[in-house]
Amino acid sequence: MAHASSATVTPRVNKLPVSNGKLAIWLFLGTEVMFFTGLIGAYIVLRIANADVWPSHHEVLNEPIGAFNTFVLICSSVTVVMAHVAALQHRYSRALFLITITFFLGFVFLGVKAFEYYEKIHHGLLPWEISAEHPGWRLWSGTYFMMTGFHALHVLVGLIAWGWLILVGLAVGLRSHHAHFIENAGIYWHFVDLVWIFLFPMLYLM
Amino acid sequence: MNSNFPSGRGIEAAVEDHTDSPFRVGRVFFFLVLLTFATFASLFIRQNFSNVWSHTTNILFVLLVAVAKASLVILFFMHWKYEKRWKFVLCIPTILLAIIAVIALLPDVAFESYERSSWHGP
Repeated sequence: MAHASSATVTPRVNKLPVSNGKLAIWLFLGTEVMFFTGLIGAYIVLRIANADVWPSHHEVLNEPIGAFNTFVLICSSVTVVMAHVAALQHRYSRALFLITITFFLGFVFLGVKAFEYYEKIHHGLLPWEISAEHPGWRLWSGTYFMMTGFHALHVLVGLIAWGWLILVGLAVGLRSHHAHFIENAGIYWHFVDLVWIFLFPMLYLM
Repeated sequence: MNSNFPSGRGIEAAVEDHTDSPFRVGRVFFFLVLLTFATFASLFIRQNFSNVWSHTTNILFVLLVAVAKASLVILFFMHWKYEKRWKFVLCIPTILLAIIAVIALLPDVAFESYERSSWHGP
């Protein structure tokens, strides 16, 4: 009886050329693409429809700050790649050090974004504070805060993942299986960088 | 097969072959920074050479540079260079849907030509 039951239970073999974790993160990113398409698509169509009343980026944004934040995110993506390579080479202290730099750079990005938000609030550029005589500015403000706000939220989620990994690394040390975590969390982090690569020119340069 | 680009063999194989070395990461980083600088420089080109660098040219330029930067990130940082073809099954439908969704909104919202009398006054 026991023999018969063991014969019926066959182990499931993943025949895809990709690990379950990586497949899951890519499926999740597929939904994220559609999420940001909604936000960016709304920005594009609203801007085209209201081109005559839309504010110029010179009037409402500080371009060097946006460029600096782009540079910060690119640097953080590079440190993630280097941390993953270090983990694959079993150089775990180096991987932990590079993840800590990524964590710090993520905070720098959010700090700069918080400063930008403070300036907008200080200048009365919140959607409900802008006069109805400037409908384009209201629409700009609404789409700007939606896109950059949700992007910042994604950065925050990435920081939680890196923070957890740093705590584990400090408490018990990183192991070989953490290389997979760094790769999957890194793919998510690069996606967040990718979204900003498009947000930066659309908001600050066009 | 070019040993510098072990397509489809996975990032682990690339690291073992030393093809994903810090030098390669450094080169990608260099191009990403260079392209970011190029997009930022477009601000000054637009201001000083507006007679030859139109608004449309500027939009096309910054978007093309953004696509180039995104390609570098996807290929080298997100490991598309090292993955097998399964990536296309996931990503092509998603990207197509994203593009179609935005294009489908254009006629009804972006190119709508009704009078927004409440915005422009009586």
